[in-house]
Amino acid sequence: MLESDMAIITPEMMKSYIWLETADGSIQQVEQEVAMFCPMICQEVVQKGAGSSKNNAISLPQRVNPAMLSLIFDYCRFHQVSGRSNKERKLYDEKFIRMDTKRLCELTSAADSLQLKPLVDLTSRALARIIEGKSPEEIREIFHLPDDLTEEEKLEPLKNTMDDPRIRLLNRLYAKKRKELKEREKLKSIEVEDRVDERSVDDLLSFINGRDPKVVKTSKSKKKNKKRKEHKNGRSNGTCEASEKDSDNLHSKERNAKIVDESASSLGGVSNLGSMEDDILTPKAEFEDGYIDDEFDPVLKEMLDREVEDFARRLNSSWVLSLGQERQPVHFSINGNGTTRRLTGRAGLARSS
Amino acid sequence: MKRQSSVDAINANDQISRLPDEVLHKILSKLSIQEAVRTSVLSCRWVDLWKEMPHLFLDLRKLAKFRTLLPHVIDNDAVRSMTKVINDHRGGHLERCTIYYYSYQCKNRMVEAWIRSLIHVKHIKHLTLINYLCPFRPNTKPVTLDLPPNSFSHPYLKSLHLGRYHIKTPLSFNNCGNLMNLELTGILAEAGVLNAVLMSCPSLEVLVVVINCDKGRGLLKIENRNLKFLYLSCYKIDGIEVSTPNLDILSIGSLWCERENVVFENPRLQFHRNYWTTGKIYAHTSYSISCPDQEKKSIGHEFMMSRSQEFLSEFSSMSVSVDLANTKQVEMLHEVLAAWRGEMEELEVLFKKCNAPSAEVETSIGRTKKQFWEVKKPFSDVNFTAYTVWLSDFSGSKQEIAFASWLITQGMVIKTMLIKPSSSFSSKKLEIEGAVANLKELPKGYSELDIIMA
Repeated sequence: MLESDMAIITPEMMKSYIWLETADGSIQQVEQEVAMFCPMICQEVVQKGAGSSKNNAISLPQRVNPAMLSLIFDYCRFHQVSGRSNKERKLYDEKFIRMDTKRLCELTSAADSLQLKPLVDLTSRALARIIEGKSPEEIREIFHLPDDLTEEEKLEPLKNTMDDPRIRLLNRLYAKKRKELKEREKLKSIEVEDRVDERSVDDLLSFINGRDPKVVKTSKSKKKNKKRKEHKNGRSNGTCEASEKDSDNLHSKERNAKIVDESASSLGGVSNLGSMEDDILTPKAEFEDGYIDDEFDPVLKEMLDREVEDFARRLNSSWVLSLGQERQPVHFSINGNGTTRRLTGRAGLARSS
Repeated sequence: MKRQSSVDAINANDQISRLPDEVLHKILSKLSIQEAVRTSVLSCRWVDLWKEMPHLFLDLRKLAKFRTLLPHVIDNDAVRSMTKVINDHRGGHLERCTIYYYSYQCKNRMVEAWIRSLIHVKHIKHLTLINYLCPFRPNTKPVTLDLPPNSFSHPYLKSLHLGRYHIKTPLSFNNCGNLMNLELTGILAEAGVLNAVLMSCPSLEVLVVVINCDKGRGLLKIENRNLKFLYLSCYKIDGIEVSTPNLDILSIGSLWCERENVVFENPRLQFHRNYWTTGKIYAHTSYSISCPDQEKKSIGHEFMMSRSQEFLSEFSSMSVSVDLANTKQVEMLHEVLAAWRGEMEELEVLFKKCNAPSAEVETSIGRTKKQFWEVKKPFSDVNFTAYTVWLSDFSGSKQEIAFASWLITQGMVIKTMLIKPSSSFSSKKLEIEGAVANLKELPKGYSELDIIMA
C-alpha cells in the first residue's frame, strides 16, 4: 500500500521532504520516502496534509527524541528500498540492534509511538534475548528495575494461590460423570451375565422409590457438609463412598444400577475403589488445595458461575441422552453458585486471620 | 528502606517498565513460557504482566527431562507447571493458546482438563493442541481424548487445530456453529465420524483435513457452505465429495483413492490442470482469485498467506485464475507468487475476463490501470520459478502479453510455457498467433525454454 502511494507521488514531487517536530521543539526535515515508511507519519501526511513546510511540521509523540528519530530514519532509509534481499535486511537488522540496553528501550518506545511495527518486533526480540537465561537479580540490574516486591509476593509463583474455582468445579463434575458412566458400563456387563433376581418388577420399584431417595439425600448432604468443612477431595469422596457402600450391601447389584441413575451425586456401585482412588488422586495432584483467592469481580463471578452451571447441565443432559441410555437425565443438583461462594467466603476469612 | 530520592533516581533509569503493556507482552511472547512466568518476580510492574499475555505458547517437549525417557517414569512436573500456568493466567485477555507435547508426557485426563478450562473458563479464541511422538519413546498408540459432548462448542472459540489424535466419536464437536477455522492434521478417524464432525460445524470458512481413515473407510462428504479454503490430504479413503459453492482455494496434498470416486462441485475452480493431470505426485492448489469487496480481505487468501510455508511449498503445483485488468487481483497474485518457496513444479494461470467494460472501481488514490502496469511493474521483484507454465484462455490482451513477457524474460519459467488460446476468441486467432510469435522472440531467462501454443 505504501509503495504504491509513493509510486504516484514520486514522479510529481521529486525528492521532497517532510517536516517533523519533536517534543523538545526542534524541527527537522526528512526525505519523503523515508518518513512515509512510518505509518503514523504517513497517516498525518495523507489525511491531514501536514508536514509540507516548516510551519506545518508534524508534531511527533513525546516518546520520540531527536536521537531516536535519526536512528529510526536510518532504519527506514535502509528498509524502504525495495530491491534488497531478505538476507541483506537480516544482516542490517542484526547490526542495527547492537546498542546498549537503555537506548534499546528508548528505541522501542519511540518505534511503538510511531507505530513502526517491524522495528518494534525487532527491538522486542532483542530485549527478549537480553532477558533470556538470566536470573531475576541480573535482569533487575541490567534494566534498573526497582526491587519493590515483598518476599511473600516473590514466592507467589511457587505457590498456587490463584487457583480458579470454576476450573476445579468443572473438573470435579466431569470426573464424577465419567466415573458414573464407567460404573454403569461395568454393571451393564455384569448384569448381562447374572440376571438371577426373581423379585417382581413392581416389588423392586416400590423398594427403590420407597427407600433410596432418603438414603441418597442424606449421603448428598453429608457430602456437602464434608465439602464445607474439610475442603478435601479425597476425604469427602471417601466418606460418601462409605455411606453408599452401606446402602449397597443391602441391595442387589441391579438396584445399585438404578440408584446410580436416580441419585444425584452418589458414587455408588460395586466399588472400584482402585480406580476411584486413582481418579481422586489425579484431580488432587493436578490442582493443589490452596484455596481460592477471591479477587474476582462479583458480577463477573456470578456470570461465570452461571456458565459453569450451564455447562454442568449440558454435560448431563446431552451426554446421557447421546450415549443412548434410556434413563432419566440425572440431575446434578450441585449448587454451583452456592458452593463456590461459600468456599470463597471461607477463603476470605482464612486470609484475613 | 530506600530513601525517596534514590528510588526516583532508580526509576528514571528504568526505561523498560515505561513501555506500554502491549510492547512488554510482545517481549514476553518471545521468551519461553517458563522465562515469561519468571518475570513476575522482577518488580511490581512485572508481577501480573505475564498473566495478561494474549498468547500462551506451551511447549512441553522442551521440558522433557532425560530421565523420563525411560519407560514407566511419569513426569508430573512439566504437566503440573503447565496446568498452573493455565490456571493462573487471567483469562480475560487470553486469545490464543498453543500446546505441543509428547504423547507420553501427559495423561489424557490432563489434556482434557486443559481443553475444558481453556475453552469454557478462559474463553480463548484459538486453540492449537498437538501431540508428538517422542523419538526415544516409540509409544505408537494414537491418543484418544475422551471429551464430553459440546466440548468445542463455545461462542468465543473461533479456531481449533488438533494434531495427531484419534477421533472416535463426533460428540465433542456437537453444536460447533462457533468454529470458523478447523484444522485436523494427523488424525485417525472413520470417514463417517469425520462427516458428522463437519456437519456439526456449519460456519466453517477454513478447513484443513489430513486424515487416515484406515479404521473406517468410506465416503468423505464436505458440504460446508461458507468454506473458503480447503486443504485435503486423505489416506485410505474410498471417495470424496466436495460441494462448496463459495470455495476460493482448494489445495490437495495427496489423495489415496480412485479418481472416479472424487467429486468436486466447485464451479469457480474449473481449470485444465489439477492434481491428477500433473501426475498425482505433486500437491496441487486451485485458486480462483477474487476480491468481491475492495475493502474486506479475502479470508482464504489471508489464511494461505499466513501459512505459506505449508501450503506453497517447493515442487508443488498451482492453478490460479485471475483477471489481469483488476489491480487488486493482480496484487493478490503477486503476493502468492512472491511467497512461493523454491521451485514450483507447474503453474497454470487462467485469464479471467471481466465482462463489465472497464468499469473498474478507482482506488482512493486514483490509480489507473496504465500507471499500475507501467510504473509499478508488479512482478519485477518476485523470485519464484516454475518448471512448466500454462497460460490458459489466452486472448492476446496487453496485460496478458506483458505478464507472459515478464515470465519469459525474468527467468521465471524453466522448461516449457504452453499457451492455450481461449476458445471464445476464435475470431482473434491470428492476433493470438502473432502475439505468441512475438513472445517466442523475446530474450529468454532460461535458454532451454520452449514456448508452445497448445
